[in-house]
Amino acid sequence: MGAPSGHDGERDPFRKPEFERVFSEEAAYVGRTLRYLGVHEAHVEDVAQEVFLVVHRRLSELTGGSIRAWVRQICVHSASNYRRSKKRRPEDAAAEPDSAIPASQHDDAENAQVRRRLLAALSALPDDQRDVFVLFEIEGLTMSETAEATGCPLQTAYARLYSARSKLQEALKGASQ
Amino acid sequence: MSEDPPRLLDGDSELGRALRATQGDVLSPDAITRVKAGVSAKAAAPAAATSASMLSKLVVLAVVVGAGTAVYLAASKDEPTRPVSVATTAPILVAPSAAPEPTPIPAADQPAASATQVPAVVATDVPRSRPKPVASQPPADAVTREGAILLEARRLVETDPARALMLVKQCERDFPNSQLSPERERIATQAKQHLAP
Repeated sequence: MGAPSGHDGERDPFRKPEFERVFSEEAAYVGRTLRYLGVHEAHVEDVAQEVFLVVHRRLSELTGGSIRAWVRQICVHSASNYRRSKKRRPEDAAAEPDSAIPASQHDDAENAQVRRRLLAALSALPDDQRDVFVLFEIEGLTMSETAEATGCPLQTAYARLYSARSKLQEALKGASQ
Repeated sequence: MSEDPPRLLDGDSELGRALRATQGDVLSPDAITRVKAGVSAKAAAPAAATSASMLSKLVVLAVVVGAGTAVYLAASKDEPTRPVSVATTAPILVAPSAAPEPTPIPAADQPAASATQVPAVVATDVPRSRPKPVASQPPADAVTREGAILLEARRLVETDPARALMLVKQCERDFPNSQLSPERERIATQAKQHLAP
């Protein structure tokens, strides 16, 4: 796996980072990743804690590769667990994500509205397509990193990406009309 | 990576616009601080618990081994006046680590606490002329378990005498031949006094 193409710096050749550094570079984006992977706004911080506890526990086992892709892989697993538990608890499922994200102080209402529509459309996707789309289009991973983070072959990741794009474009087109 | 498809984020489609809107949607500094505090607390908690558990186990082990050795020496010298009671005092002293005492006894204070807490039990309990005290000793872990239960009972004797009495009866069932029976009786008496109208 090559260097990450996302928002963080160069990591080639691989040097095992300290937890503090990983946290400071990834925490803000982990929150976003979890949110678009289907974690309700009210639970994002809790699930983010779980993600970084795993990072803290397993960082010493890391031998190479993209830290960002590795952290996103943990996000995918944590979000998957969260979604499963949410399905088991109908009272949580009642809180739909499209009403969960408020406009932040750095944000305008129009962007918040667009994001709500995107979240609603994402929530209608199959989980495997959603994971690939979010990691590639929002988190900026490469396709090979995305495939690794989601645990599928590269060609499968491509198929999921194109399928997700098609469905989302259709959904947003319908929502804007 | 060159084989990656163009990202919609860079395009003019409705979806591209939505993706651009997500880029500023990150955790706030306050939220990051909360997440970090939670991670620090949870990451530190298992280590602290492990240390405390190890310490309490070491204290238990040291006291039980010491008591066993004393009993063995007493038996091997065949001196009936040698206090067999050492073993009976030990478990009660180590039990605080297993029970949620409001004022737990630090490990370093264990020997001092032993001298003040249960002295009378020993002197009156064990027959001095018992020829083979080692053979009749209950297993060390049983003594330790009973000591822990009795300590919990003693802790509850004023606040929840019914529960304390139940714990004593549990000890009577589980450890019928225990040398801690005087302590059991004492706790039971106190519990009944508190239960009395």
